[in-house]
Amino acid sequence: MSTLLPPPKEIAMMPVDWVEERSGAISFGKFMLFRNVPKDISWLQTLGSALITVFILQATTGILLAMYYQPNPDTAWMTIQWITNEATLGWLVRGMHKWGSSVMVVLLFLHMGRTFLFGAYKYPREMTWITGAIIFILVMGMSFTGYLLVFDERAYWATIVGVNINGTAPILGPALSYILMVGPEIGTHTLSRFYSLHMLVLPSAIGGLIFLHMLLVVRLGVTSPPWSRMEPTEGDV
Amino acid sequence: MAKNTDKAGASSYGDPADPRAIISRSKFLTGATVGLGGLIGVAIAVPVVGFVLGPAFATEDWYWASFGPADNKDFKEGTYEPVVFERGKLGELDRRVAYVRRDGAEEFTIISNVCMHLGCPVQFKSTNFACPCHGGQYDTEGIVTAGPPVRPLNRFEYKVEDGTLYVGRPFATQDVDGKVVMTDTFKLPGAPVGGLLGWLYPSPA
Repeated sequence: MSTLLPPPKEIAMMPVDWVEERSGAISFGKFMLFRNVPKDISWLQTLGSALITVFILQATTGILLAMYYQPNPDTAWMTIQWITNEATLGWLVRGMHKWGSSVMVVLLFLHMGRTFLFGAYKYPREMTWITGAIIFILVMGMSFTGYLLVFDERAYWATIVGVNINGTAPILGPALSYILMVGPEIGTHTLSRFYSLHMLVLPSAIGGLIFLHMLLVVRLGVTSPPWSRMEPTEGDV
Repeated sequence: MAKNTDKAGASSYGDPADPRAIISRSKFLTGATVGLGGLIGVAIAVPVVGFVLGPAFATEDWYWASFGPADNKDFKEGTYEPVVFERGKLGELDRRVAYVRRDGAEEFTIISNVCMHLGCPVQFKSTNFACPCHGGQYDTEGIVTAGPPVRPLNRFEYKVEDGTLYVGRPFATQDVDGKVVMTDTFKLPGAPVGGLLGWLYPSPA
């Protein structure tokens, strides 16, 4: 009777094979994870992966915080106090989101510095650099919009100063300030607009750009460091 | 194709399967898809842009806030009295501070405490207004004496009705030969008033 059944290992692999046959997801995953990279790369080339990890962390903790946070001037600060002091593990989730944001900015600068100093932005990787630069600007936007959501005195005044710095750009500056604040001064709409930007607009834009950034990285491969003694192989640039 | 060659004449140019057709089937379908897609895109973009921008440039509701009796002894000549008031119905968010100085029985100078550098609150220190954020300094008229602010402090419009002082909107002011002149527009902190620089920072609403 047992001869009629395939070996257990094959049975265990059946769902995986089912998915692979219909989507190619397994071979795609293997292609992504087992790409050839130069022999002389180091931990410095892992900063990008670290950034994706922090982005996923920020997205996850952000979704969790959104379950309790209410972006209303009367409730915003109180709900954050409740998350921090009352909710189970709320202090941890909020702490991860708060410190994760700083970690992301620090890693972003290191990642960008590594790319710059290694000359990894040069032909043919200019588009990887450009998509990365846009991600950088959007992450700055995340930091700016997230700062207001706490809605304490520091958040309020820092946002006033930040918006007015935007306003010092000639011609379009004042209009930009009005668009950010939804009017000439910070009000109820400012908070909900910043919340929408912070949790919907900017993260989805960053996510999409990370996808493009990764497509380019996979397509173009990783550069050797400038001090590399490896013989260039055919097709290397 | 063969069936069209024996039927010479203009009619075959209208057959999309004919290679001599004015527009081929695939080109027509491509054009139609791109065109319709574009129309749908515009139909979505118009409300999106309007919904995002419209409320930002809408005319704001302003209220005349009561400052109490105009003969209040706290409003003295030669010095400023801070008044905390609410300029709208948003509670704490609408809380503002005005510095009131008496110039006559029903004449006042009412200065907004918003610094004209980047919008921090200034404080009156017996002989000057000072901003804690980036060191902006103003004299008793609100004219910049030191630091980064680009223009004198805003002033509030006011009226006295039945002996009660009411305060309205803040307006941008201009330093004209050492004298503060109130303009009829509101401008954000950091935006200069008058001259070429004033023209470079138009008031959006």
